Amino acid sequence: MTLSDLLYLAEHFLRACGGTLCFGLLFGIPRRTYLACAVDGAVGWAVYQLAILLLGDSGAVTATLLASIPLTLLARIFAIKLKAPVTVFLLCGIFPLVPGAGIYYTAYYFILDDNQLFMENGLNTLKIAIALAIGISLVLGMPLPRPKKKQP
Amino acid sequence: MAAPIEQYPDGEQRRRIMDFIMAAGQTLLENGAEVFRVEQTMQIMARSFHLREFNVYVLTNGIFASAGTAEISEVRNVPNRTIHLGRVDQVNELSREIAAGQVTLDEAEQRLAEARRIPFPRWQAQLLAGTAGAFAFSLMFGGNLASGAAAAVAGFVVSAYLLACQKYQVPAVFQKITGAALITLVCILVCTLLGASVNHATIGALMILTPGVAFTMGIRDFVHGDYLSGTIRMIDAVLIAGSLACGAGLVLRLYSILTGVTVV
Repeated sequence: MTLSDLLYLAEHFLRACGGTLCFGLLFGIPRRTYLACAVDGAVGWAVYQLAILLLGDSGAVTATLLASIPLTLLARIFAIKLKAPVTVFLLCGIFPLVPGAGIYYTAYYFILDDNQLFMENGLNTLKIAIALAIGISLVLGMPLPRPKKKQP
Repeated sequence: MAAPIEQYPDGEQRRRIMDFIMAAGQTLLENGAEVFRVEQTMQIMARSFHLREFNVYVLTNGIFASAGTAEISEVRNVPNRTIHLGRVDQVNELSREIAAGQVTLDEAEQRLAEARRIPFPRWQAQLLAGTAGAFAFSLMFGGNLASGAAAAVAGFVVSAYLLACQKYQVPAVFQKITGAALITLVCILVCTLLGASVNHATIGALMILTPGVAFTMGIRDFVHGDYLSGTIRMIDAVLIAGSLACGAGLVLRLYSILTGVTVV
């Protein structure tokens, strides 16, 4: 882990902050959750980039799984702290990781009749989707200690 | 101190409660809440308002519910889905307060009407968000500043186009096909001017149209055991992706036929 790596990660963190916030805005998230959503998406993306740095380009599936865990955890924590549904944070935060590009490329090669690239992209997208599903459901299913305080 | 909630609501009251709960569920579903959250929220509301024997079944595009021993039953068709998480948040907040017994039915109806009226961000904000979002995503996927700039231009154009489409209620598939074609066209033009990679610019701007949300929700529905709803969302995602590929592919093909240069 060199300094330039850290700088690279910090740069991606900021980019993802901006990207997530923009899409959050389009989804009409409440104003009090702007910062939390941006941080959530950025953390997920930074962890993903870190995992890619360590594992190499072939580790995209593992990286997605690794990134979705802290992201979902953070979404749950924000949801409790800010009293908003988890979806608000999860939908925005997961946006950089969702293989939107993968689905697009799969369909694109299907139309171009390039069967090999179609299969390759399709399988990869499917794997990433499964990794996301596992990551999300792992953390969402995990019981969190809830403070049982009655408000006056 | 609010008036206490009726322990045994009479027939008229029960119908009003039912209508309210259906409207709340519809609001959640229309604005992008998950299927199980809609079910859960409706059940919590029914319990809090003492609507007995309340059963509900929610699909991605419809709500079926009955109360009493099928004394009241209602079906709602929810064909149009947009994403407005602010409204979901408001209804969620409302259901929490109802569960705490702080809200009467009158207040709840009024609050729900207010939640349904929360506006989307202004069009200037939507344009800005589309532009900046395309720029950021193009950089995230490994583009340089030039392709980021191209993506930003395309993002601006397509955001404006989508706003216009919403105004004239253009069908979704047509919107996606032409939107993707527009993005690709703008990206090719600007990237040729700036000498940047078309690929990174296009995919950054396409993020505005990609079915990321449908996809994530589909996964979550599957994980929760709502297989039918998950399938509906997945088919939605595949259809959108197909439309995007059609639009983008068309322009790329035409470009390579006209100029003899193959991009991507």
